[in-house]
Amino acid sequence: MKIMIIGAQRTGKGLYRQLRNGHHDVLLLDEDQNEFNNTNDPAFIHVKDYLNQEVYTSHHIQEMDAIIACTKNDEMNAVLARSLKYLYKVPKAIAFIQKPEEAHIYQKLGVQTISPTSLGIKKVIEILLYETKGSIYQFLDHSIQMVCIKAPVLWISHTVQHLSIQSHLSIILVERNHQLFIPLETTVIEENDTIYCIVDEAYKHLVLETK
Amino acid sequence: MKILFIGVVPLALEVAASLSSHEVSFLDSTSYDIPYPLVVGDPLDPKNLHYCKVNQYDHIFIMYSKDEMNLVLASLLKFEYNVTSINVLLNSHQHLWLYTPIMGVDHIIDSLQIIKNTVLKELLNE
Repeated sequence: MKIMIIGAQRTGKGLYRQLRNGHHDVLLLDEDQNEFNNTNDPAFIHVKDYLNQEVYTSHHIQEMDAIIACTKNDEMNAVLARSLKYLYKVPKAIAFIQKPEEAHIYQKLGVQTISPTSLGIKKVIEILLYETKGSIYQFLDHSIQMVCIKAPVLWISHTVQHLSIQSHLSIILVERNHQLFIPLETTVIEENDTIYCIVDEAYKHLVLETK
Repeated sequence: MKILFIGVVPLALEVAASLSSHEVSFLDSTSYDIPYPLVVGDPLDPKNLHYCKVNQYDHIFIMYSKDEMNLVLASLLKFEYNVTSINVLLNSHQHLWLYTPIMGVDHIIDSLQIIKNTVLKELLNE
């Protein structure tokens, strides 16, 4: 893939290294020349103004498969992702948004956003609250899995009906005091229960933990 | 007409002063002592936009000094709030290519062009 990364701070540089290692054709842009100190890599490009059209036309933006905007400025990232996606038809445009409360606003504008803050919070919550024995069975394309987990703290005292998410997460078995049973919708989850559920890709973060 | 200026800047205040027969309001993240109704809050915060009832305005002028901020607001107001007329200040001519309907811009307020035209008009009248 041909990828343009806009913003060469830690995220930009990290992405650059990973993508180059994956043999992608990557350009890394930044307004700050200091970000490129001690390197002669021709893929590192110093630009004076991120919003200058020539930056993109001179580097053949129309041939890019993806752009990743990860400057320090959320508004800049949103504008670049939206404009390059719609004006130059770049197939994938991703904006890093530091303020999680604004990420969903930009998503409404057709911008694919990544909020490192939200991802960090979600990960910490998962580590603290969920414990899993892992995926027991993966169906077909692996998008749906059967997972066994120790009852998460947040699930205790809630009914199966309350915890199930239609078409996404379904609790199918509960192990309590070494006895396995199929729960009713009214079954209340108790501490130390082991739960078997079917979960799809979109919601597996609720139950899967890699520790 | 109902007119909202986002960003309390001298140009906006000048324009507002000549619109005395219209209903003019301001929205800005900073509090100012101005002779117009002013909502103080982050213009990117949906709560503030709802509070201002932005979709009820005939014209909205976005007047910040940073073009990326102006463009984000223009997109948000046009595509999320269906505002009919969005007028956006252009601070740098190098950013003109972004001031398109795709980014939610209906009209460009090109201060450089306005000054240029005024100067030329004055020169031609001499």
